Formats: sequence, structure tokens, C-alpha cells
Amino acid sequence: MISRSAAGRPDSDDRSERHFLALGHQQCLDLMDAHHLGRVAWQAADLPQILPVTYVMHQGSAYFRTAPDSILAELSRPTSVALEVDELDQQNRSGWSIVMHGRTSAVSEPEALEDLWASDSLVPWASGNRTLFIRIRPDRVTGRIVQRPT
Amino acid sequence: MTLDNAAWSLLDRGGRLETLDREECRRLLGSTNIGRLGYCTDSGPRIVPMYYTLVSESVTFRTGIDTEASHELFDHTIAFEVDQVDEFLQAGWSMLVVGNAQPLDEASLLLLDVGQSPQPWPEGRRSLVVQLPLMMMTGRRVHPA
Repeated sequence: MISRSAAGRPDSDDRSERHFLALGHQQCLDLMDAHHLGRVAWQAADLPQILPVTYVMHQGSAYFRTAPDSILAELSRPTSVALEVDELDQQNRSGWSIVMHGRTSAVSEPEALEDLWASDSLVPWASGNRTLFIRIRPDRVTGRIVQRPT
Repeated sequence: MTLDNAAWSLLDRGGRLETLDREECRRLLGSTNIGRLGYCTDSGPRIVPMYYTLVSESVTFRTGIDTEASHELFDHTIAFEVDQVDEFLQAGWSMLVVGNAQPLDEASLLLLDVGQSPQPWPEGRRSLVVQLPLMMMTGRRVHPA
């Protein structure tokens, strides 16, 4: 480990602390349900990768669509990922952030595919022939909220 | 937001994907100040929203001294993602800086104007200033269909 003492300067401009609170499990799921834009992070071949995705929640898992030749298609192999969804208010320095940790897989069950193709929300933001559906089955969902002190 | 079938088929045709060069990545990085920090731990990948500023050609952000991030950041290659996505038009850009972070040294810390100091999110007592040099930058933009 490197020494962090040099950077360990006490903050002088940080007195107006804003507290962050943990969100309950159900609150996290409700917020994830109500939103469709997230960022997915994983360890690619040798580097960490992060990309925005349009996802939809379906029976407790998150799903997104991608093209078979895209970077995201790597995730059709079981991979440990984090999907982050947030809403940040820069002006008020408030907001929330939820992270779903889980493993990915390609969706192959015909019933699930039928449901997903019918989903209005599942429009990916990148181009191409996005015929591949990826599921993130969550192991753990956590969230936190920061509010302006009153 | 629910899209009708016409909108769906329009979007389904997809936008045009463009690879961004280094100069454009650098410009976009300077156009906002919220990004997402990603790093890997033994128990899987992490992703955290962060306020940042650009100081001496590095993404500069603050984190807590005794957080998980502060223990994991310097041992691995990390990623910092910045994007702007228009959900309605299904267009936007996304870029990624990848590299090895280091704590800001005392000299650079003293050179940092108060106004330049990146605000942490969430706020609290966070005194570790971290820099990620703009060595490896990649990006892409999606134009609406």
C-alpha cells in the first residue's frame, strides 16, 4: 500500500456535511423499477469497463439488449457486474444512487424473451442489431440517498 | 416513459455509432463534472458516482480516507466513466478513462485552488484527493436515428 498521509489534509470547506442514508431493499427495487438508464461495470479482459445501458426490471432481474458483436455482448458469459442507477442534483448536491451486484447470463428461455421483446422500456441507446438479451440476476442491491440538510 | 409502437420501431432501427478521438474525449470530459468511478475488488466490481474536476490533465476527485474505495483504488487499474445520455432520443455519448490512480501529492494539493477542488458526492468528511491521469481515453457517441 502507498502512503496516504500526504493527501490526508483535513477539509476546511467541508463543514456543512450532508448525510447519506441507506435506502431499504424495497425502496431500491422500486427506484430501479421506475428508471431505465443505468451504468454497468465489470472487469473486462484486463481492464475495468463501464458503459451506460437501458435496462428493464423483470421478475426481480435486470435486463438489457445489445448487439452480438458489441462490448456488452461479453456479458453473455457469466460475469460478475455492478449495475448503478442514480439521480443526482448537482445544484442541491443531493441525490440517490443504487447498485445492483449480480451475475450476468444470456437469456434463452422463449417465455422470457417474449416478455422482454414486448417491453416498451427496453430500448437500448446504442445502435446496431441488438438481438442479444442479457440478464443480471442480483445477489445484492444497496442504495443510498443524500439530502440537503434542513 | 412508455413509447408507442411507431416510436419503438423508429428507435429500434438504432442511431449511428461514432468512435470519439482523444481530443473530443478530452473536450467532453471538461464539459461536465459528474462521473462514475469503477474498480474491481475480490468480491466483484464497484461503481460509485463522483464529482470531479480536471487538474493537470487528470480526473481529480475526493473520497473518504477510510472508505472501501480508499483501500482498493491504488492497487488496481481503475475506470472513470462520463456520459450524457438522452433517454428520449436514445442518443448521447459515453467515455472512459482507464489507468492507475494516485493520491494527489502535497505540492499539487497546495496548487489546487479552492474553486477547483472537486466536491465529493455524497458530502461528508472526505479528505483523500485522488488523481487519474488521462492516459487511456476511449469514447463513443450515438447519433439519433
